[in-house]
Amino acid sequence: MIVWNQLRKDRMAILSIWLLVLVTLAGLFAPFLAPHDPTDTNILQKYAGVSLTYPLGTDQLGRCVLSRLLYGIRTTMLAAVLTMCITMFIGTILGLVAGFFRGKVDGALMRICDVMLSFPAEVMILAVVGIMGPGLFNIILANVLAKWAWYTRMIRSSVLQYTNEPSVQFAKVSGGSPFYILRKHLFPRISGEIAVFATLDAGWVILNISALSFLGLGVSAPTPEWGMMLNEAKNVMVTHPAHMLPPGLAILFVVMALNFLGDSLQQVMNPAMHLTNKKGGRRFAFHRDKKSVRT
Amino acid sequence: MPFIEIKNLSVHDPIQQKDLVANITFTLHRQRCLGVIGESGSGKSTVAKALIGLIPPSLEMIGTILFDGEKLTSQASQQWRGKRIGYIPQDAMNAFNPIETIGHQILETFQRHLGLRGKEGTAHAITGLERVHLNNPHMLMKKYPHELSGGMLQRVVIAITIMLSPDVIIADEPTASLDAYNRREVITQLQRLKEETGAALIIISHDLGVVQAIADELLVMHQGKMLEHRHAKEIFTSPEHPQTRHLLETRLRLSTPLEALRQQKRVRAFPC
Amino acid sequence: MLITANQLLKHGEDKGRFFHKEESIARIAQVSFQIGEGECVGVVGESGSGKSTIARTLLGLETLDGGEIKIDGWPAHTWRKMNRGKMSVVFQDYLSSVHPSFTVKEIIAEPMQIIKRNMDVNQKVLSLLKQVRLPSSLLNQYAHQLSGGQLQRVCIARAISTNPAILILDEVLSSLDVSVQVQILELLETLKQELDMTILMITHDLEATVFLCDRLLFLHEGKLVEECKSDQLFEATHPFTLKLIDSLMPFQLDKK
Repeated sequence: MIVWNQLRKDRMAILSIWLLVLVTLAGLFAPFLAPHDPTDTNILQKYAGVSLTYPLGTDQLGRCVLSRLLYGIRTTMLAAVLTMCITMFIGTILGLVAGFFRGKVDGALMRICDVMLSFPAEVMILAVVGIMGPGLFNIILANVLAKWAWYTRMIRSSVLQYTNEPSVQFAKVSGGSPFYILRKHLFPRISGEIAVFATLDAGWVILNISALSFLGLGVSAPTPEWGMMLNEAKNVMVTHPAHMLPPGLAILFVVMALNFLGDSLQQVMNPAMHLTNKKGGRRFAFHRDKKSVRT
Repeated sequence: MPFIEIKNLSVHDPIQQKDLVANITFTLHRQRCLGVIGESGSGKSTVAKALIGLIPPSLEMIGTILFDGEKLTSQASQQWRGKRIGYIPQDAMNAFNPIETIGHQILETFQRHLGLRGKEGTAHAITGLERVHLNNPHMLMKKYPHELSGGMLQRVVIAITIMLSPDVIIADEPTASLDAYNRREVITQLQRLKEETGAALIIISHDLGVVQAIADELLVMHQGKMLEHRHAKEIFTSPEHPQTRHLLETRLRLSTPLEALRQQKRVRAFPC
Repeated sequence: MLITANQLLKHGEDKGRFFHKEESIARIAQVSFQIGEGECVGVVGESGSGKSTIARTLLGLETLDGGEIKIDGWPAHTWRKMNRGKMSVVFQDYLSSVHPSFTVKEIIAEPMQIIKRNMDVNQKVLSLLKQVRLPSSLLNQYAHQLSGGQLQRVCIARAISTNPAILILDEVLSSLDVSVQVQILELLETLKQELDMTILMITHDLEATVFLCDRLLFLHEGKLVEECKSDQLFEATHPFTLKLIDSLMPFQLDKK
């Protein structure tokens, strides 16, 4: 695929993909990789330093930090992926319907989106969690509620743009049913943009989940989760500052990787910015304008 | 002395490993018009951009460009662009800032290049717009680019160029995106420009009809190389290179049916 | 079949702000014409004269605010539903007329696949490529790998793939180099003779219309100002038509 070939040339994108793949695998194989049970407490060993038994030391209850980090991948990533999937699904369906069929349906949907978008996302999330109580399910619900309107809007504008293109109009003239056009023309064209939105937003979602857990509104103890670990580490920020590093850096790197990947996907999706440098690296070569396109 | 002298101009693309333009040499005197013709991809636009110093930094350019005996370097091209070297782009619609009025953008250009402000600048602008036969210049200045048609915008660009009175004007496919009526208007304006300001005019076009109407000399290009450079009439009556002949013949086929009709009309009008 | 258009009217976009709407100029008004079977008619006018609007209403891409179009006695939209694939179009912007990730084969086969007639699509695609003078080596190329002329030929092949009765050419030459324009015109002329189609050609270029069309309709500011046979072009009388003839910049070798 053209996308993959172009992506391959961007070193940052490849690095990000590798990191995300490794983190996902580490989370999947956590039971095999983690040296200890993440919920195993050992008060005598609390705040132990880095050692062979405890590669990243232990936290305030003597639990192995590395093990909690590895199991924490599951919680954080699972929640993030689930949130992204549900939000994207709702946003895509509604965006396609609104953009393609226009008229009253479009009008009604857009007014609802307007209302939803007038609430600041963070406030809405806090409100939902506050009303429904903490817990992973509620966090996911809150995030979906906060973001679905934005996706719907973005996808709707892409659909509007593509519906006016001669290629879609030709399909209409040839007798293509709305379903055919949605399936063959619109969905493939917007799938690239959906991927970009998803990767760029995934970072935001992870930060949200971690923030809520940090505030004590997320998962309940003793479930390992990076935000929770940060919360616990903040209590001993003065005496044991190093404890903030493992969960903090983990969040930092994963979110960074997602953002870089999203950036690269955005460049790749825009044919005008394709890299022609064989060696890779972030260099740009702009294609000539449409008028002078030739073999 | 020729006003423009180009010697062995070559533009090389290191990434694609090929010469976009190879060894172009020609001279042009004041008040003469050079038409650069050739198919798409022959390098015509690249030559135009080289003359105005707007080659993308990723390309390598070698050769000498002399304007009135002075060498064109990147600093010189920055200073001279606008004042001494005028440029009329292909898509004038895209040359304007969509969020500012036409008047604002014209005045901005005059202020920068001629140092005119306020009432003086406006008067200058109005004169220019009137000279390209645009109606209601005062109303026009208040409009935004999207409210005008492509043809009108192209004429605004020409108006600006006329009033800047540069010594050289490079027009890159000035009529390509215009309909028949506007095409005729633009070419008439360019002809007047040449005659009134005494500028040297370089027109790049793929339309031989347009070129025939305005060019004194022709430069035929093909795949980056220069095929012929002679008086336009000579090339039209006796082309030397087979590629030139091919270009002329193809264009002729387009005009043949219409010209046959015109002949018929003449014959019918004066039967003898 | 006969296409009859009667008093077509399409309003322009609403102008003005919320509380005070300005009068918008109609895009087409009181346009009436007839096109006979097998005719090749050119609709000529400057940009913004409404010619594309006529084509789009005929194609069903836009709705009329007044007047009606009848094809073979049926209202246009009924005829289109009954005869899927019998009306086709080639647009001006060839690059955005095709799906960027379709190969040439998929582009040309699309109309046939939409109407799902049981024909050997692969064979037909190859013969269409031959008909538009393109080599079969282009089958698996993508749109951005072809030159403008080649891509426009692919679009033409796509348009004639379902043997349409009506073919609309919407400014098909305007984005091409003049030397390529001639080649496409000559191709269209050959196709006009080989196939049995009614052709409607929208353009602003008189030379091209005289090349291909039998009859000409002149449009100015949304109104039909003159109709004439193409070989009687120089007997036209309307000032707008005369202005258009005047703007011609033909290429002649025996000039001066």
